[in-house]
This record gives sequence, C-alpha cells and structure tokens, in this order.
Amino acid sequence: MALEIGVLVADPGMLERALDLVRNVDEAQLFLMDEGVRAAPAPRLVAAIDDGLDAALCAMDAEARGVTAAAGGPRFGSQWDHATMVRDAARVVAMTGGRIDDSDGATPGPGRRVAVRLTRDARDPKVAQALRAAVGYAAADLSVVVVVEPPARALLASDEHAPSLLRAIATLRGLGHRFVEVATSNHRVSCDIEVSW
Amino acid sequence: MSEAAHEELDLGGEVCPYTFVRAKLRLEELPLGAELHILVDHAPAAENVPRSLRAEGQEVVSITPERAPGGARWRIVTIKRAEPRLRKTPRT
Repeated sequence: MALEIGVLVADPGMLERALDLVRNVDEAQLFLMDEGVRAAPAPRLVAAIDDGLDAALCAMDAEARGVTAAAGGPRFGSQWDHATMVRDAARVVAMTGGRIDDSDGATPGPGRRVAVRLTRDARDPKVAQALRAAVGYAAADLSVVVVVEPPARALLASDEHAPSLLRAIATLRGLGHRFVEVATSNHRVSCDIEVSW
Repeated sequence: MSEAAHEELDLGGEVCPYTFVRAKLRLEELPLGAELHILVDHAPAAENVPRSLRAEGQEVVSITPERAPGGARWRIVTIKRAEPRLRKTPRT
C-alpha cells in the first residue's frame, strides 16, 4: 500500500501534533531527527508504534544526544529512511522547530523536487542538520534546491564555515543540486515538497 | 566466500549520510556484477548501509564484524545488480 503521509519531527515539542496527524492513517511514517530524537521514549509514540505506525529516528542524532534504543520505541534508522519517506509519501509534513511545512498533491517518487529552506543564521546547528538532510535527499534520487533566506546568507557569502557545512555544500553542488538565494521569506521556488529549517 | 577479485571501499570515520553517498558513488563506477567490500566503523551504518543498498536493488552477500586498529568495524560484501541513481535527474 502507498505511503499516505510522512512526518519529519526535529523538535520534540511537535510530537503530539505529529501523532495527531498520523492517527487513523493506514500507511504513515514518522522520522525523528535533530532535537526530535528526544521524543523517542514518549509513551504515546510507543503506543502508536504498537498500533502499526512506522517510526524511525536518526541513529547519529540519537547517539549524539545519549538517546538509546528502547523496547517498542522507534527503530534506529538513517537519513536514508528520512529521504525515502520524503520521496515516497503522498503528503509530507515537516516540523523542524520553525514554520510547519505541509506539502501535498505532487506525485511521489524519484525526481521529486524538494526545496530545503534555510531560515536561520548559517552558524545555527539547524542549518547543518538541514544540509545533512539535503545530502540524504540527493542520495535518494530527489531533486534538491537549497533556498537561502536572508538570515542564512553568510552560507554562500563566505567559505569560512565548519567542515561539515562545507562538505555538504560541495557534495550537493557536485551532484548537480542548486542553491538559490532569496530576498524574502515570502519568495517561493518551484518545488513539490518544502522543508524549512 | 568467492575468491574472485573485488573492490574495497574503506568508510572508516565516515557517518550518515556520507556512508551511503560514497557507497553509491563507488558502485556507480563499477560494472554490473562487480563485488564491492564496504568497510564501516560506525555501528548504525552496519545496518543502515546494507538496507539502503538492498532498497536500491543491490545484492548484499554478507555483513561481517571484524577487528580493526581503532575498535570494531564491519565488512559489507555487496554485488552490483543495478545502476545507482545519484546524480540529479530532474523530473520532466
């Protein structure tokens, strides 16, 4: 059966809302990353998994935050799980801690166009997470455009960034994906799915 | 295990998502049927890299823990059965 909804949670405070979205949906997937992995032991999440929800978390983010595997909790996955969820779900909702993106209607599958919007200062750890996720999308045959809003402009204006940022930028560019600087947060780019960080 | 010649990709020190990005890039260079041994030293990669390879149509022959100078590592033996898609392919 086709995946009806995929929800990215990168803010533990959003878990309840995410679980409301997937309630009573036959084929739903939840992916926790960044600070969202802290929500892994939540009893309501464990109960939803017991009821059939497919939930995974970013093993690397969990390890960095001391979150360990728990019986009945989400499985320890990777950015591959995240990327294939974004590629294959009919509806994708992203809750990263800023604005909530709800993308619906575009045909799922390879080549789907994903806009990763950077809304924060380039030094904010969420920007590094956004770019890491974008590299995962690229590896799962999604077409990525990184939309750089004014607060993140320094990302492209300078090469003086953490090695992880520089590597992600070089990887995305090397694989043929684009970076677009926009003047305002209202500037939209053509895409199927949007994920704002 | 086959004694046939194989390629080796050492991903020691590498973490997600670069583990599977580099694995796919290496597979891209190899002919169908080629055997690639991928070495990882991050425990989650020993599960997640094979899963992503299988999902992409590659054959995963074995995943074997090994001793390494810095601690544990895993040898993932895979055979290229499909052409990986990694470069941007815009939807028309």
